[in-house]
Amino acid sequence: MSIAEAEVQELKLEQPSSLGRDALDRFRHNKAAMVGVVVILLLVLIAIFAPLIAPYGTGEQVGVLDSSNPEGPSSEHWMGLDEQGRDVFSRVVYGARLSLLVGLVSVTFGLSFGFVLGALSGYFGGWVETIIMRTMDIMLAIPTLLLAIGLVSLLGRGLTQIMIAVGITTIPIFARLLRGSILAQRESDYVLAARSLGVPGRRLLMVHILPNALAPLIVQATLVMATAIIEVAGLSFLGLGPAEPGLPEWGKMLADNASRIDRATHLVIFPGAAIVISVLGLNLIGDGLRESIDPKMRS
Amino acid sequence: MLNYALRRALLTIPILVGLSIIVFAFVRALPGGPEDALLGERGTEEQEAQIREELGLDEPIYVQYGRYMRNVLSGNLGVSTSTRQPITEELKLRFPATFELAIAAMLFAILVGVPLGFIAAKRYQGVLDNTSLILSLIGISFPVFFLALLLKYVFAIKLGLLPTIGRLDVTRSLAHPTNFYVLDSIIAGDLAALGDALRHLVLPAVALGTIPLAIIARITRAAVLDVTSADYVRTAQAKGLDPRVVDRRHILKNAMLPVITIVGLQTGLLLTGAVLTESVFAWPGVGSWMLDAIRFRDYAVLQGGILFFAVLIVFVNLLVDISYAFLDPRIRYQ
Amino acid sequence: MRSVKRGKLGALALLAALSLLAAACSTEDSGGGGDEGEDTGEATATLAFGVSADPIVLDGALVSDGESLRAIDQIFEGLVTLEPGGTEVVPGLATDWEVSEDGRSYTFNLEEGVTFHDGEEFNAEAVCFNFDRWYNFKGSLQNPAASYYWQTVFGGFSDGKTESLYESCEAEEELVVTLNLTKASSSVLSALALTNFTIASPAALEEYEADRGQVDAEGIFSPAGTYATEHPTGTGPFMFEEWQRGDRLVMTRNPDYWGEAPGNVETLIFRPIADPAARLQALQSGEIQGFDLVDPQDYPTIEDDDQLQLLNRPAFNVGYIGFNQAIEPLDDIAVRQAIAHAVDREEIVSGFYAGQGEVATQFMPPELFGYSDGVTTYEYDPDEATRLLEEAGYDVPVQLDFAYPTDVERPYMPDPQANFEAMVADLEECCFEIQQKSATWTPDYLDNVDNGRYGLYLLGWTGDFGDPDNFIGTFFQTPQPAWGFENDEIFTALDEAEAETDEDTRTGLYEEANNLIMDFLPGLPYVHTEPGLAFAANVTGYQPSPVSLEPFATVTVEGGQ
Repeated sequence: MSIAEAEVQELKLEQPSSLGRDALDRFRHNKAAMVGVVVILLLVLIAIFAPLIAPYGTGEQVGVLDSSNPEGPSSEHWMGLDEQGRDVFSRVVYGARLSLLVGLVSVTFGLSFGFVLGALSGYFGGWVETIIMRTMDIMLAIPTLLLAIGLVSLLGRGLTQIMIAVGITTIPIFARLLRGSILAQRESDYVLAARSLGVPGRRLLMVHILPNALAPLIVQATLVMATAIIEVAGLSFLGLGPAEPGLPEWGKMLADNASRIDRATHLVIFPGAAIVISVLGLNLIGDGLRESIDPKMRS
Repeated sequence: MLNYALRRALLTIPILVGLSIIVFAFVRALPGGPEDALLGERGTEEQEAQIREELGLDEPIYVQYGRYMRNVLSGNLGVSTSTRQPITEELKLRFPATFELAIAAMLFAILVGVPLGFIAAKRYQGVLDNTSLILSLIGISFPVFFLALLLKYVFAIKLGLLPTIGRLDVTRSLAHPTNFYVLDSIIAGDLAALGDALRHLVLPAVALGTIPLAIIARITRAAVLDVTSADYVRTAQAKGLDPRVVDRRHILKNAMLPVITIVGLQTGLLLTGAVLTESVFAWPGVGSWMLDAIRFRDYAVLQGGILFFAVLIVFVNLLVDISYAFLDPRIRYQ
Repeated sequence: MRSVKRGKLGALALLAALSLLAAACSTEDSGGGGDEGEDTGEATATLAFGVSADPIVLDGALVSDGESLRAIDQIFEGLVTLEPGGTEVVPGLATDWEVSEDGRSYTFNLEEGVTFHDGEEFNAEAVCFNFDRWYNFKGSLQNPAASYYWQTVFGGFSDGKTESLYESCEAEEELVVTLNLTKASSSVLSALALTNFTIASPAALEEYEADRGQVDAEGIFSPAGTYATEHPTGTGPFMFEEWQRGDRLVMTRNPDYWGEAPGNVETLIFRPIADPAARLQALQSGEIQGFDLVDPQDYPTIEDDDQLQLLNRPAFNVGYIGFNQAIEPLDDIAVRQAIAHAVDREEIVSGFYAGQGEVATQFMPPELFGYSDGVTTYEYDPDEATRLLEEAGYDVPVQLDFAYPTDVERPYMPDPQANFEAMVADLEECCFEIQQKSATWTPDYLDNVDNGRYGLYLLGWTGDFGDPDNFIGTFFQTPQPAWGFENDEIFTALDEAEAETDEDTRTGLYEEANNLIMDFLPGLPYVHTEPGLAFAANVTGYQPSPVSLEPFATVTVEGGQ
């Protein structure tokens, strides 16, 4: 989230850039980014084929109830059992579905609304822009976790509400980004030329400006998705997550077992590592994307 | 310069007003209004009406808002429904706790991050550079609470090197004129207390500061690389100036610009991290306070706390903008 | 240049080194236990005890939460008290007493030479001042949650709106006092041992305006005077010293204590640490020397650790699943029986209570008189559950909603979420479809339960005094929205049992009542626990009590840490 914030500042001052064959080439040769792609592909595959990969169900009790000494990793249960006697590996695998879902939905939500708001303020300018951008400033003034917490209090607990809440917190980032991009492009040569030729504003916007702004938005979306996953995990950790306690959400698994960390370290390590790896993959991709569409950034 | 500062300062006023309205409306919209939280089901119709009248809840919302803002501007943030203490009093205890933690975290992040970024840039594409890049990426991908848990487990529980929770050893008594325990122990000349306070700060500060550290390292590296390849630096190097002078006088100073911006923008991040870190280490700061307020429906605290922090962040951003303009004259004339 | 940079770096390094040095020095200081050296029995030890939360206020008449009562127990005393570790009534500030023929007057002879912490004399007048103060509570002080125990035991106040068991108090002589009741009562003497009826200094009550303030409907007293937060003045072995909310409550030994205080604790500190895991960690690192409300999953850790010890309170509680019969189909006995057969209580008790729990067969613990060995029991038998439902004409799975509280640990339910998950899994595996609900313990969950908004819900109860009336009387003697039923047979049986004065008959009546209740099955009791307390190994003399009446005056901290 912080990188996103920081980059918003930087990108605002940059020239527009585009996806193209050059960019794709650079991306493909970026080793770190490729690692990220592999990680995320794996994650997606795991999520899709979870029922085939996971040996047990998420609520299936395969061992005894034991809150003092849940069984650790063994050859039968690679990640051990939890206090409800459930197979941790299966739960972590199904948790991938949840995390991906959460990340995708909240980012899509935020991106859609942010896009519209950004486009409106970039196109109309004037008081429309002022109102929208001031509102975005206000939203950004509140730390995103607190904002998300506040929204969850309003909307109630539940997976959908959390996705919406986290999605809402990402709107200002996208809105500002798009507006900044539109503003920067407005002054650029090709736009000035087009206007002097009489090309109508709306057509310019739709056909040229917006597609050019797409690239940084996609980069941002990847990075924001990473923070969305962390944020939902954080909300679960604080006890504000989805109300159904059996949900194999990684953050919730961490929270529930934080007190057992010395006797059942496996219950904390595995979900935590899953979060780190997924988020790392997304960050690697986002970073790589940014570098490939704008090699100047790499210095 | 003064012009710019004034203009920016004036711009924050509509933001602050907007913020206060949003926070106010938000708290009013939360399920279970104040009369519910105060009376619950035991209240009869008359009692509920009476409370509403006492609290002025039956007046139109803008009147309530006006009254609230008048109170706020005169320094009265209301009373907490769970502890019955005035909120400003509790804020005086809670805020220094979080602030102290944030400063410690920031110091950690800057003192380790800037040199790291600098060295990584100097050895561009070397082993150290790539390692630090990877490490900083991992750092950003680590949820704060997971890191806090791991640190606590390894250093406090398993190795027993550092305390697990709180700001100070329970049995130690210390006068708290400032509520910054490090300062308080210095004022009291109590070296043992100082050590104790510092020991309690280590783990939470490291946990909280790791993400800012990663970011600062990266930004420093990028900024240094940027500046190093700039013409004026290459000129200086070509002229044969001592590279160390070039480093300090030109590179560092100019690279610091983006770093300062980032440091300012971290306030928001630090607050978020504080909520999670304070939860793991039972640190009696604003983060854990807000969390309890939400759990136990202490809306007065929620309102006052969120408002306080939003205002704080707005001011920090203002300061950052102004100092940025001060350091880079190009910005002023936009 | 480089030297300047070096200079700054050097300064930083020096500061860092100094801090490390200071930190190293403080390592020896931290973990303050007792004072070594003086083994002459002088009280010199400091004991820091981890509690789950701050007290609300330190006025026994206006609180009902465990942490307030715990602190008040150290500072105040009542006419009678309980034998250490048990529920039998023994003399306290009264040396002995007589009951009149008609059972309506209790005359107490008071201990001589007792003074309050402010130096005022303890006498019959002081006793009557306190009782009359409670009887005369007005306005919001009559809130049922705040003056809960007065209302439970005595009923109404002097304004006559509700009947009161209390009639008057007479200071017959300097050290002889008589309490007059409006009718005979079989349980008033054990009730007088409650912390809520401890005696405070009239002078302090008046000077610091103990009655000034307001009680909100949740029963939280917010004082306008300073009595309850800065000047709680009793006769007990510890005196109030200072209180910083969220940080510590400090009490010091009363040098003029009239009674026996064999322990060596000079300074007693209560430290609020909300998270039980954090309490354990603080104990392990030596920051505190004991704590309450131990998570059962930590029992093995504590037992295996030589530096620590685990103490248990005798089982005096019950955990249960409540049924709200106002919500269909819970009004059908077949459904309730099916639930009882569908939940594997054995497994839950053995899995989540670390060996310190026993499966409950009824709504009161075995140690209490009136416990019935002949109640109907319900074995874990999901097939039987399905059969019952189908026979009664239901389509399996039957839909129910089930709620559990968050952000709370109770002695009978240290991990509500774990119990809930396991029970839901059992129910759904059998023949039910559960709509899962949750809310924060206070204010929402309890509010919802009390108002009958949930169908099934997790709850429990820890006894306040040694009488079945305190368990099944509290639950089932009158219609309540939480249970949603009216059953005159049960109501009458409990009324009779409460009024009966002959002990043996009473026992029989309560046994009968328990049989009736478990046939009717208004809920499913599943566990009695022996809640654990953890201490450092060098702490001795602590007497766990079934009702948590535990004075620190008998505690000795041996040697240093």
